[in-house]
Amino acid sequence: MYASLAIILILGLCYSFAIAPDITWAHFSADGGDLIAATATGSVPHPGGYPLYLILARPFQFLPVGTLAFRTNLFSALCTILAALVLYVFLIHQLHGRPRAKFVSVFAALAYGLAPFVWGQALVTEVYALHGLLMIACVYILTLEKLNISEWTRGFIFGVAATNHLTSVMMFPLLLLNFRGGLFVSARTFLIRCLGIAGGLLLYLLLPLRAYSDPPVNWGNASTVGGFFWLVSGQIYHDYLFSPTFADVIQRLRAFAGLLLEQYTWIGVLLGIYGLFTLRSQRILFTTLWMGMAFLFYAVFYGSQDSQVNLLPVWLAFAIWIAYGLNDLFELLHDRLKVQWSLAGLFFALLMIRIPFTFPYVDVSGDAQARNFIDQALREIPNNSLVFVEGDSQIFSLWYAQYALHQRLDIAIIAKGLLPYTWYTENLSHTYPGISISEHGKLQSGDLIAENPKRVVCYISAEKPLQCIQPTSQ
Amino acid sequence: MKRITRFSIAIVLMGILALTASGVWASQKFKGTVPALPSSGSGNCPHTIDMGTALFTPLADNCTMSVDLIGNDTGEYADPPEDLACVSDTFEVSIDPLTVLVRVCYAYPPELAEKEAKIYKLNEEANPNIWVEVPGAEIKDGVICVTTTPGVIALMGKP
Repeated sequence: MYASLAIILILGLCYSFAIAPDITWAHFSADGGDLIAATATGSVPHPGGYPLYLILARPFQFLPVGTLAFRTNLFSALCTILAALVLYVFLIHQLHGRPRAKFVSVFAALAYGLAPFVWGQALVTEVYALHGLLMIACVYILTLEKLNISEWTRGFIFGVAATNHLTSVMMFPLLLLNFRGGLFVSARTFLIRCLGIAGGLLLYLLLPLRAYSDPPVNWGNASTVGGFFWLVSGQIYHDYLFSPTFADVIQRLRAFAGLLLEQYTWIGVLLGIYGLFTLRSQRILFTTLWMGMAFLFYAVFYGSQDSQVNLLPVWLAFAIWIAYGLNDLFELLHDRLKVQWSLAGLFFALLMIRIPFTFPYVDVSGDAQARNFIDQALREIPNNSLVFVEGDSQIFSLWYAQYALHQRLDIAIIAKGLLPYTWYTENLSHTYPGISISEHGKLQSGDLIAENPKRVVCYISAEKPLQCIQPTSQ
Repeated sequence: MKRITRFSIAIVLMGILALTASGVWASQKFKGTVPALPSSGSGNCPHTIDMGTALFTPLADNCTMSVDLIGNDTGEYADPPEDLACVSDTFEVSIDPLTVLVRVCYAYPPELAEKEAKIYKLNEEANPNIWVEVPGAEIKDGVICVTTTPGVIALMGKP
């Protein structure tokens, strides 16, 4: 009880001082505006749609504190604290009867929650904090022998995890494994687990329901069968996979080494690697190694700008290995209680001393870059403009301002990169009935400008500030 | 496996990680959530091609036009005139037939007006190639427009 309270208190304090008070682009959260707007307006965000996130984040948006973005950021903080708590409970069960099991479990949970990347994700609107929680839940229900839940429920939780982030399907093969005898589960058990997965995946049906009402953010128009599969399969990003060159892969693997040291310091990394070789439980070894390797592979070979966000389950696996490494050290010192406690005190002190050094790196409590961008843009954009926007941060921030906060409803915000998609053209027609769009298809901005000659045309991108021109002056 | 062996392996692996670690993950060439637009546009006349920082409108009905973004480095063609620098994107405009004129309008915010920026076209017949200011520029409502023939177009002003 006190251990759980300590985790909540320490992480809660650290997160509350550093959390973003408004929308932010920090910690790879450029998509935050899209997620907040979609959650608040009953819309459908970018692929794969994240239905679980949309449902769970929504109640936080009703809290009577701060901005809408802040309230959504709070959800990430809660998810990360919960993930640390589940990690603690998981380790307490696994290390039961071993020396200093409680301390080791608290230490690993705090090490995870205070790892710079994890801490950063706890402060912003993104799906990765919830992803971390679901991944530790999957490890927990798969590896804990004493846990009395049905095979259907096991599959269901894996399925639900995939409705938050599609990469969770990489965990599905683990459901084939049997940890109570032979290598694989029986066909019947596997079928039951698959039915459970299917049950969890049903949550995706929320997306066509939302899409049917023509919300302002409606990626893929999931109300059609084709649109639904386009959305949930992340088809728009399929060519990102394996797009890095060999040189990129090498660079990323080297960067991974740097990131790992950054998360847990050389002491933590040493303990983690040692712990991996110490693991006696095959089920935990298989599960954590699979999770770590699968997500590392994906992060390295996925050619998006922010693919390192997919490393979060790797940091989770490493925290578990750190616990086993530390526990083995205590076993080595089983007859030297004073040394055990001294060592525990030393490790805890190191963890706490690191906080003020990590804090400036993760702190976004004073970050107003995104808010300043929104304020300046909305102040300077002329009335009734067509605003062509490029860049995730810029597009989603303006969506947040207009769709979620209902600011500057006179202007039309147009994501230039989405114009070639028919669903987006249709979406624009519904969202901005005042602008003229004669054809739904591969629309170009020139078409829109020509069909709306009385509107000022503005451009915003990451590289260039707001620029407005008057096509009618030609 | 003995403890000492495990610990030795851990130290060796840690050493390898520490020695190979670098701080750079992704490069800018990788994509974001919203796909980036191609850096070129084409269409049948009189379709206006919008390249973000400039609009290109062919002044004829029966033609085809394509515009390619070159970027903001004109050094590939010829150095800018003395005391001038490229202050916006450079484009290569192709029209079939070649005789069709094109209306080019660059966004012209106050900071570019302060630099006294003007639209230049590359004279590719001169040897070596030189940049020549396109005459008859109209500056109005935050936009600078000229009418010219197809070719390589840039906006240049004081650095």
